[in-house]
Amino acid sequence: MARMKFLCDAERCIECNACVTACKNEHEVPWGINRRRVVTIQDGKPGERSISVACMHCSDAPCMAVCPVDCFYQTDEGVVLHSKDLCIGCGYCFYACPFGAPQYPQAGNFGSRGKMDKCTFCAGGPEEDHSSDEFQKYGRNRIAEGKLPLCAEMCSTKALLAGDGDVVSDIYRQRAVARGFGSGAWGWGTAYQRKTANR
Amino acid sequence: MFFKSKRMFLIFVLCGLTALTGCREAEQGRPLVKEKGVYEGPADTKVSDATLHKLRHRAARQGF
Repeated sequence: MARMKFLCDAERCIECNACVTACKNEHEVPWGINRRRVVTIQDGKPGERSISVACMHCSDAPCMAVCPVDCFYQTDEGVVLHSKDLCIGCGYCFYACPFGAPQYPQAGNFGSRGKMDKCTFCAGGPEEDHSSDEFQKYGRNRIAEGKLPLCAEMCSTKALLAGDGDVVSDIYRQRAVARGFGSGAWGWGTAYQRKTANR
Repeated sequence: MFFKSKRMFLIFVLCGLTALTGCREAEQGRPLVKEKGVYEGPADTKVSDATLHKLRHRAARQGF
């Protein structure tokens, strides 16, 4: 089985933030932490694009490389998780992450941040599956139930895909073949009276 | 010299040796030597093959 990955289809994302809401609700994420967020570029202008961003569960995760206490680990499916018991809240993983995925619940004096929190691919943490400890620290463990991350399952346009990397890339490839790519994609020709891709 | 008498020096050495005995890992109840690059927290539960199959099937249903 290939690694578990997210893929956000920017052609379909409508910035509804259903993924953000679903994640916050399901895991009871504290105030001030956004495990997932929708980033929009060219807002209100032609070429506006939105993309849902969270931890990308990198194959060679920089957060794991820089952690001074090695609180990160990677499951057999490629999901990058960490132990909040070992985390010291130094913030190095935040500096290292190109997506800004690690977040901290506190903004206290003398730089105290609290334990790092991030997207877990709905795979919980090192605690026992479905235990109250696991839910309280990391949120729901949907992967252990055979369910995909809720953000992808709740996506209104199925822009956000999650799961086996081979399956996800196959879905995206079929979409790209059907509609074209970039400025050649369907709809743009109608809007700007340019030649559309043949279907 | 640093120590005013031999007795003071002896007391200092004895205190130092006593303090060193507190460094034994068994007495501390926690690992004292950190091996860099190795995760030393609790092990996570592995996902079964049946669950992986279910996940793959569920992922394929996203394609529409």
